[in-house]
Amino acid sequence: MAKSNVVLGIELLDDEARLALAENGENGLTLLATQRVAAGEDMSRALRGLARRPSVVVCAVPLENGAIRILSLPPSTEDNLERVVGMEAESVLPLPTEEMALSHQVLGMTEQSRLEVLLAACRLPVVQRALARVNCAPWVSSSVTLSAAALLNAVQQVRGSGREDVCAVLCVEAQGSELLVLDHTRIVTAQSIPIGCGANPAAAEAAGARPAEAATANGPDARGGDGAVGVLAAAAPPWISTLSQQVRYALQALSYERGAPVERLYLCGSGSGAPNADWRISEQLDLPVTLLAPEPARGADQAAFAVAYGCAVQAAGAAQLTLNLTPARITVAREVEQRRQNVLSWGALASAVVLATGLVFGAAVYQKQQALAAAESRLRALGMAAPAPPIPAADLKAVATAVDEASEARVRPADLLALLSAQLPTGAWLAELTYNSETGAVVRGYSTSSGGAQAAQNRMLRQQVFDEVLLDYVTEEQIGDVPVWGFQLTCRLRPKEQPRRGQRPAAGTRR
Amino acid sequence: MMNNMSEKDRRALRVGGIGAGAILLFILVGSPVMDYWERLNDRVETSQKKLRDIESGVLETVEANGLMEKLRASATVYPEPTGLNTQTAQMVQRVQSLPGYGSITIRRMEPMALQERDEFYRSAVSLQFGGTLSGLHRFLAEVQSANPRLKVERLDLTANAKDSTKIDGQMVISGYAVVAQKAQKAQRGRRTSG
Repeated sequence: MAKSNVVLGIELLDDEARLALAENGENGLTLLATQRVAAGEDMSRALRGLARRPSVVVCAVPLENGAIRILSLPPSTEDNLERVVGMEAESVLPLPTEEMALSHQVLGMTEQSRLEVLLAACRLPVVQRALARVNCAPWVSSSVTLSAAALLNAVQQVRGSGREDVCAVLCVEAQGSELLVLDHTRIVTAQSIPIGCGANPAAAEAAGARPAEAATANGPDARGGDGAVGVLAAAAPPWISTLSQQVRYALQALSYERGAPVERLYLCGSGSGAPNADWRISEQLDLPVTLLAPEPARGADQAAFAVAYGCAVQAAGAAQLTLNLTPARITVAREVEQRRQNVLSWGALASAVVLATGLVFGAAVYQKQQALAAAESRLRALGMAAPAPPIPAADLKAVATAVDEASEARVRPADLLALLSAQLPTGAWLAELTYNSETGAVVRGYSTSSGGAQAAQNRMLRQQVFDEVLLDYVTEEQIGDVPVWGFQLTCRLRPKEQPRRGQRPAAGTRR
Repeated sequence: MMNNMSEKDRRALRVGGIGAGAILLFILVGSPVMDYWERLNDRVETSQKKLRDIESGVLETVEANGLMEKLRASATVYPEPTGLNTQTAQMVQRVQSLPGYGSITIRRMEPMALQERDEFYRSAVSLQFGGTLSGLHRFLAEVQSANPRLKVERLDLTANAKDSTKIDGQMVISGYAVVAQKAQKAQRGRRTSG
């Protein structure tokens, strides 16, 4: 994707400046906005108020302050050419070259092996004034061209390069006009005509219409013709007639000289905004006339921005004729100033970063100091070292667990005695008891009934105090004359399993 | 002198100057500031660690005191191993001081040797007795609820051949003792070997 490049073209006139903001993108050059800035208005504010900030700016000064010449020079090297052009300019220009800003562009070689060079010149104070006005914003570093060169670029951009062999461009402004004649893509002549449309072409139009109305009142013959053309001719304001006459003479002279008639006239400038100006000039010159408007769809006054648009074309790098009248020393001074500004900006940025870093660091240090002060004051308030228990809690826990395990009995002897007292059936009695806290108990006794031992075993089992209750034997005996049944019950406790860590004792195990 | 230098040399000199300035700035300002920052951080961490240690020490002491109370309910705690010399005698005294001691007839009382386990010591006393079953039950119940704890390890009893309401028997009662130093050392040794 091509990088978007926003450019600005400025036409500087006595009473106003015309701005054309364009973007050179994937779809070619697109006009973004046009704007007029009156002579008294702040140009800096206007530039800052643009929708997009331009990266390149080109401004045009009127041709009346300069001149364009075609030089025919002997072939020369690139380095030598500037010196030759400078010397040649002395002879073709009316002012000394020290008072002029020069620019040139090689057009090509002639059939006679001469180098054809286009020379553009402008009064140095005019260029300096233009730069002083346009370079008001620090980010703008404008170059200066002539309005005629801007017109050529505008025409080539708007109409393309191959429609007519010879055409003319007439730019009509309030104070004067410019006539540019092109042969294909080359400037044949560029001249300034001191006839303009006046400050308000519409008012001039109205003034010109009054005699026409009078002529209409005297009948068709008085208008000098029939139909719309006659009406237009009769209604033409004086500046159109006068200017048309001057243009006709210039074009005829050129036609005689070169033997190639002008095929079309492109009309632009503020004078083109007068009603039917193109028709009237066309009628007077007997030439087809087209308005040179960069974006006709944007409105009727777009033809007034043709020069500014041509400047934008040059700024975008799409121009056929690129002239830069800015003196090298001004350019250098400007670049030095911009570099100084850059250094200042970066310096300010770096200082701000350093300052911000210092502030952040200072804040962090302050916060740490506060935390330290708080911690130390708490330590002072506590006024003691970390207490340590005589035996660590973990050690105590292990010892307490071990002692608990050793001192606990699953079936305690008092409970066993109570159990036997409660569970031995009627007619059965205890004769001998052997108890061990780890393994269980062996109970020997007697019963007056043969089933007493079995009943005692069942009852003991039902209590689920011991893991096993075994009836070891039952023997029939005699105590005196009374038959009794001796028995022995073994009540076992299974050895305690060491539970794994986190494991609970098995369900049903009772102590 | 600068005017005689090429643009490349001037740029190199400028870059070098900036680099030297940066190094100097780091040595004179950056490094001391970083040292100060590290010292400050260390002091803050040390103070906060002290506070945390105090807090955890207090908590551990509270927990240890609770556990010690629980341990005292199970065993006699001696601060020094020399206290063990009196353990068996004290245990005999405790048995004799049980209210149910008089409910049976003690014919013979024989202290047994002190046994050493990993975490504690076990002292025991063997009793030969006679009496009634209910008197024995009362005595056993009081042994079971003694504080520090006593445990009847073994009990053998037989009905008296002459008087069926009487019994004769023998029992072994054990008590437990803990030496604080030993408990600490045993756990340390266990941790080290583990």
